[in-house]
Amino acid sequence: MIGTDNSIENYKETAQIQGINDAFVLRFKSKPKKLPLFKYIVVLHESESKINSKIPFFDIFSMNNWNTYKINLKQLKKLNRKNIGIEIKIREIRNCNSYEVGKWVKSIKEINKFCKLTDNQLIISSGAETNYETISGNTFDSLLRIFDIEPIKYWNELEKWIDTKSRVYYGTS
Amino acid sequence: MVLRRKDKHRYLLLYVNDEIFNEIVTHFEMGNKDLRKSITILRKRFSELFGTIELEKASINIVFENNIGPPNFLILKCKLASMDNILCAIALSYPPLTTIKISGTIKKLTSSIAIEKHVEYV
Repeated sequence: MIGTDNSIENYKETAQIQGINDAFVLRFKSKPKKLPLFKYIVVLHESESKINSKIPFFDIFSMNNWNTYKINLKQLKKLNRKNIGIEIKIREIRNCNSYEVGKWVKSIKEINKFCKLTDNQLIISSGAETNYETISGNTFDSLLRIFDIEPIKYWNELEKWIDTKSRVYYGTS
Repeated sequence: MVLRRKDKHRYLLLYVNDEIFNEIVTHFEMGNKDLRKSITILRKRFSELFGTIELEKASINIVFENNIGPPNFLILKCKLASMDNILCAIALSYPPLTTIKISGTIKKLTSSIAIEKHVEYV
């Protein structure tokens, strides 16, 4: 499901192909000059800006620090927006020591509770930037079970969430 | 009457980076049978996350293929009961390891990538 891309060059090539395969997710670190011809989602990273009422529209809030998750959740609660995806990358957890991994597991459990209460969606992604960092479906299911999340329920909810987002941004060309 | 039921196990095909793969090959070429060092990353992460008792229960072993076709592939053998924990430890290990395929037999596991059958357990 997750693919990676950090280069704009690849985007230029793929942008010419209409009806790009939905099975891939391309990540751009910088905003492209032209609007893409395929579905896209705006991601806000924790480090980029603080959450306040003046913040522009975004679809996904990406967290990369377990220390600040409580503050971020409070701010998201104040923002009072629905259908936001809260993304956590396994790549960030992978680099941590065991103590921090434990903290991440606890924080993911709490973020999942928050998402259910506020109609938002938890997104656990590989965050892969190389082939070696990709994560298989089976492994995702095992990780979800460790996080006390039922895999089938999670995938169904995620699919519904992606569907709702696709309707908003489809056909920007 | 004595029950002699074996625990079920699974083989995992892993995709590893050059650094890890070269280390394994070097160990084997030098005749060093202590290949356990090569999966220290995984064992260490597993014991940190789930404890040493669970690590022993999982009985993670590396299966070294003598004539590996495609580079950067590695086969592990482990207990089925500990599969969830092992997959988690693999996903959370650094340098990164990727699970490609899980199977009950080496034959099925290697069918897709055409690895010759010179198997040696360590």
